[in-house]
Amino acid sequence: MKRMTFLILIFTLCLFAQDINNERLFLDIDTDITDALPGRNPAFLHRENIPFNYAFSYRLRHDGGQDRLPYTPALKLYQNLSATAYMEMENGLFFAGRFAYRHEQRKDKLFLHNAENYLDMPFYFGDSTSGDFNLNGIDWNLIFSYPLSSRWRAAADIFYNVDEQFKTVFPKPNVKRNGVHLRPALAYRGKSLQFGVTGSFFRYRELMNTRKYVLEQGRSPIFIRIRGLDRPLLTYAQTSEERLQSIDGKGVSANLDLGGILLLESFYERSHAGIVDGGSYPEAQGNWELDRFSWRAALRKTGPRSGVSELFFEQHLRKGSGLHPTLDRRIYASYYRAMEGGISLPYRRSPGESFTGTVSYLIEDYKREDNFYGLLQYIPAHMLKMEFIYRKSGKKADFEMNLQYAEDICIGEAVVYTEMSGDYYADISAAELAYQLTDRRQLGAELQISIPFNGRQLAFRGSYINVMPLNSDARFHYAESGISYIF
Amino acid sequence: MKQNPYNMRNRFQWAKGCAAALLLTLFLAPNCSLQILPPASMRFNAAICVLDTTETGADRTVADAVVLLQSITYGDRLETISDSAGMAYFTDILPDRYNLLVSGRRVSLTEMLLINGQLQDTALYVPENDTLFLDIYAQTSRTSALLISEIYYSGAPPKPIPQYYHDQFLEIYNNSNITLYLDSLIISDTEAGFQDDSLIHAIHAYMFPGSGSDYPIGPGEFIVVAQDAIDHSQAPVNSVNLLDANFEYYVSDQGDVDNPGVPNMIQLHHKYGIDFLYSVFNDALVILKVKDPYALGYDEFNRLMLPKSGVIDGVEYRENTSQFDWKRLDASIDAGLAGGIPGYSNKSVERRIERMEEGRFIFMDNNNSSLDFIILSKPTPGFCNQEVPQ
Repeated sequence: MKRMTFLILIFTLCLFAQDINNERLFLDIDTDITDALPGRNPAFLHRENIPFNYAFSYRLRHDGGQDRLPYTPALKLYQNLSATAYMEMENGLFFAGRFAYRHEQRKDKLFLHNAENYLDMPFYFGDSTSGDFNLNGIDWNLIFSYPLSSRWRAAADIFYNVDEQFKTVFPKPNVKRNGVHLRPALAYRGKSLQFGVTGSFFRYRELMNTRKYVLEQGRSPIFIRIRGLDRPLLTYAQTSEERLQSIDGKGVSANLDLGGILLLESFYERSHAGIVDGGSYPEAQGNWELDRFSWRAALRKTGPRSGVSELFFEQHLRKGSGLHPTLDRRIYASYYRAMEGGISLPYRRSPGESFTGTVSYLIEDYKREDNFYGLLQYIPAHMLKMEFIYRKSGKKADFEMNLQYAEDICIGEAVVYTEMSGDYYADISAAELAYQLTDRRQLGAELQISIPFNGRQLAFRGSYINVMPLNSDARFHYAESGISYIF
Repeated sequence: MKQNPYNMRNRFQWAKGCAAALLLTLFLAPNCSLQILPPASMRFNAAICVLDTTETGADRTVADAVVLLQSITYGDRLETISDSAGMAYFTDILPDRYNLLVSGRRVSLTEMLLINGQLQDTALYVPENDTLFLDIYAQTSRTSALLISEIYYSGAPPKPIPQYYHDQFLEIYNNSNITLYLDSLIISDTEAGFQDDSLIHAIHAYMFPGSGSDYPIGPGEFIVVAQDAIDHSQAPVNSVNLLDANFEYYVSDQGDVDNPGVPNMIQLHHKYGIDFLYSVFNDALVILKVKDPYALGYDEFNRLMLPKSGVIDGVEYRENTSQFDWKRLDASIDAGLAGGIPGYSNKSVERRIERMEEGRFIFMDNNNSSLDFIILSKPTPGFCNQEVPQ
């Protein structure tokens, strides 16, 4: 039962933890094998914090609704089947491995051939045809963690994925992607101090092919080379039917735990995407660069009866820029900044039963500049977030319930944007802006139950978040359910 | 009550942590006094000086020349006239690759010379919203009495017959006030890649019949040369009626259609194809007169070589008139590009009317098809429906 309580705790931490470097930016894949480790540092993988030996999991995600950005599909169905193992070798080497297959369906995804939007990135390849995407992919994640001494450990985390995405509607884009992510890490575990450093090197490649097409075929293909804010720069007529995008990046993250009282985490990453056209009508393409920086500080106090209370503050910065293909000038710039501070207070009713309430306040702003046309969008936002967690560990089953509430707070900060006209402005930019300007309320619930089964454990998880704009009946939901068979 | 030393230490560390977090927050918090202003656009001004390569000193500048900037990426066309100092000014233009075309005239007591120049696929951009200064050099050429006045090359819409192009025709007009003769005049296409060559490399070349004065063309008269002089307006093609064409191409060994009532052009060279097909996407057609069409022989790819000095008029057309790379004709024949119409659209390109003179049209002839030609939504073989500019 201790093991199970620990397992539930780990799951809860995954959910509750504000992992600062856990943003799924380039690939929409959960590499949750390190999620429970401090700072997601693989060198912290050792005997005391592995959640289980083996597990087989199935997860189903269902996102959809009317209240969405123009690029977001009306429905996204995501299924993931994975096998995970943690093993300790004789010489102290720890091994963790995860193999997963995933299948994705995206319905009514407009304007883009890319499955992912690549946040803030101004370069797209697309047309206005609607259609459904299908994706099949597999990914591996291996971690080797080795003790250098009684307190120091080194580790290597290797992630590799391959997937293929296709759309059946003309011009039938086919996207083949593969990615490699290597994270060497070092960790120190002292009696009242532990810290770690993790490096990050990755390359994600995406090769896209479409049917060759011209405007005269009565279609409406558009080759969006560089997307400005309001008027995309377009090349009409024949398009290149091949494009290779390669995203290379490196980063570093660090985490520090001072006696369980002060916890610090920081993360920095710089990535660069090079885009090259192939095919019959290659066009010089621009490149983009992205910097991400985050840090988080938490003060914790552990009461003998109440549990862990926490005061936390975190900050995120994402800064992107787009470069003109031939003029060697920055033509696009964006940033996203966010600050969040909050407090988490627990109440332990009995040894196996506890409540935790968290209140936090988020301030964020988003700025996009089109240096080419001299256009601007600036959208500030404030959000109040509340969370309530109830945990109960019984003799036969563990139970956890999580209720979340969040609401945009309109405090009258000025939204600045340049209004334009034209089809693309109306279809994309104006719709995107209207979405950003709308205040929303989010209501979410999550339930986790773990029960013994044939001498093993079965863990169920279900969550539902409903996003409700304050000025319309349109809705968007994120629903997820999963089951794990744990050895 | 006695304080627990463990708790005291805990509280001290808690306070220390709070102070550290506060300091970090102050250090890394975003700058609240941020100026939210739109960035400066990369738009700039351009001052273009038009220079005549055949003159020197102050006479080099060309006044009243039409200067056309064509944006390759966006397809925008900006047009202005050079001032008395030969300067043309454009304001607030976006950085891009541009085609720059110049067309002017230099009139003396004895003759009128056309002045044409082009800069192809040139990146125009200056940082800091400054003014770009640019010289463009133009060369002289002469106007023609005989002109290609209309080309219908796009073919009929693919309904129900796909890729129908047998309704193509070329129209020739006498822009002068005297009667001219078509006899032994040659119509040919030109291969790309020889823009700066002194020779036309012709894939097809056809000659008007006659011994010198058999086929006159009077002032203001049109002559239509059809690919097949039949009625293409009947279903299912629904195109143009070319029964009244004056001449037609006939390729006897390829099963071509022959209208016995319409004189055939004489085949000088026919490298391939079932007929003298004008490309429905891009091509260049010239009319020329040479003493001996075979005098220069053939190039290594079996193309008939004809001297450019014999060219009377030439027109180059393309589906995308912004793309000036691999142009076929130089600025002395055609500094621009006609077209901009999709294949199989049943549209044609026709020379603009400049004015009326003694009851006949005077078509525009700047040796620059970008300026001289317009798109017709329906071909007009042997006539002209344009409104006369006032």
